[in-house]
Amino acid sequence: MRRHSTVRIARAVLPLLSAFALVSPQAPAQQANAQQANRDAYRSAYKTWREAEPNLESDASAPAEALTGRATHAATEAVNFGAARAAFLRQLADDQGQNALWLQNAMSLPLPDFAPAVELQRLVGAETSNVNSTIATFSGDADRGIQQLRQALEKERAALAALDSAIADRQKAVDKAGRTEESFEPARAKAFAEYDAVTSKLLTPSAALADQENAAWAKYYPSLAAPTPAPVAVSSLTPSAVSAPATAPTAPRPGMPPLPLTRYTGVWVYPTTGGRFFGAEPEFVDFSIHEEDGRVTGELYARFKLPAGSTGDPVLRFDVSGELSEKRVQSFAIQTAEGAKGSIELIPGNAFNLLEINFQTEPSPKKVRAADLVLVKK
Amino acid sequence: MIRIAWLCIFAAVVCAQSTPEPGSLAALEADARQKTATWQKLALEMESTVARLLPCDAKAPVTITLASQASETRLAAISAYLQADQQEAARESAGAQRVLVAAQTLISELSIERSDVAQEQSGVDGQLANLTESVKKRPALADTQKMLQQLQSLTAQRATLAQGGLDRQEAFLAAVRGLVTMLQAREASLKDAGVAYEAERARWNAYYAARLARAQTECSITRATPALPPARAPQGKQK
Repeated sequence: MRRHSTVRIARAVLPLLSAFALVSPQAPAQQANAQQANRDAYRSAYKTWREAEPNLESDASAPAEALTGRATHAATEAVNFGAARAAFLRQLADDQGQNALWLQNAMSLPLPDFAPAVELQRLVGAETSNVNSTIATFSGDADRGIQQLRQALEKERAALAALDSAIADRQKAVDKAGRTEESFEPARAKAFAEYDAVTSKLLTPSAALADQENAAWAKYYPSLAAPTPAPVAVSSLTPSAVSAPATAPTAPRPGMPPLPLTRYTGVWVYPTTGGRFFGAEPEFVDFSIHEEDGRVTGELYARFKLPAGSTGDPVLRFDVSGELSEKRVQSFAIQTAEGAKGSIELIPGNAFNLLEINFQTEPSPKKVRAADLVLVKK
Repeated sequence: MIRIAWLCIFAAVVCAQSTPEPGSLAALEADARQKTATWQKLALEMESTVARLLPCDAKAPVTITLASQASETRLAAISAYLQADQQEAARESAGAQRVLVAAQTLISELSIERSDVAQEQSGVDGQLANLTESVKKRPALADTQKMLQQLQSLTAQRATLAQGGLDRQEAFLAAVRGLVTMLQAREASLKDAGVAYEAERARWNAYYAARLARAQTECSITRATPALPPARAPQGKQK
């Protein structure tokens, strides 16, 4: 009975879950094409970097003036490569993350037993008994009409026997389907755990490491040209020499992100056309974020598009708070208006006016609990 | 008045939310359950109703036909549910297949990743070797050397991550394959259940046809030897 109720609840929330989660995984061919293009880009950038100044370290004992131009050249190419490399890894993590999400949300519902065999076979048994007793009543009667009736009764008895057998066969098939259903959840959970281990614990950290390396290369080359005991400022690179926004040529303050704060702070909105999202589709998003003495506060107000007939709440509000870190991708705690806790990542986009936000909260009835969106600065 | 209007709106919203989306599995299941309940009532009452009727009472074939039609309607509703469920199962199965292909691609990607990171490591190693020689001539480069060593460490961490993914590739692929196999088995078992329901449907129809034929036989043999009505003398001859 309890299982039955659970199934009914599951069936009721299925359309909602489908709407909130990715319904189907991405086509592998599309992913492979995009990945190949990204790989070609970083490999080409790598070759250019490595061929730019191959003897720079060997010549590093020469006077600084002679090295500055070469170091700037190498830094530019290193940063170009780093940006392409990190982008490739992030794209790979995102693409594969969608497959992990599909595995996380895949559902299989037990086949309902519309007419249990026991009940139907009881009915068929009663009818068969009636027919048998009637046949027995007329067993010795030689009347032509009674014989016709007996033939009709025999046909009915044969039909009932065939029906009884068909009911039993169908119940066996339904039971078999039920046993298959029971093995779904362990198989899904195992596949998700394995996939998640590879995507979120390997690919995403790899992308984060590539970002760190990129920032480190941007510091390294100026230091090579002008080694001093004091911390070397990346600002020795001219802005024009650094094309990728991931390594803006300003020396970050300790405890502060490598990018300007304006890449995170301000008021951000979801574009009315051509918006990029993953998970629940937003109708509008208003996200404001402020920083004071390294502490960040903010709030998000959003409405999501739900499928017709959905019982979910399209509106989501949460507050953001936390300390800035030295990482490019900033992570903060969030708490929804209903009290559900979670986390959000702020990921500066390729352009200065783009910010990707990726949030998830504890399960909260009928609320959107995860989304990944690209916002534009208001 | 405004309160009443709000109550009506609230009631309408609650009502709309509790109704499953038409065509959804939930709606099809509810329909099949409702039609099963209707048929069960008619089926249980059919024999006792017919038993109380005279052989040629027109209500007898009507009662059997109603039960038969309700049976067919119920089995058609179950069939519609099963077809939708099978389609859903096929979609899930195809989705899992795509995930498996993506998983296999990912393993290839990790293999390429390991190779590319190894090349990057080799490049950093070469830079470090050259810089180490330069540090001997210019000790002020020691901090720069440390930066490069940190970079070497970061690149090594990436290599370790790529290798970590490859190390678990067998378990990873086996788990996804397991799900695909399970979903394919589920799809097949649902098809089997559908076939079995169709066979049962045919048997129910055959049974009701036999039951109706019996009722018609009962009527026909009763009419073949009809009881003669009492003879009435013509009015004119009495006079």
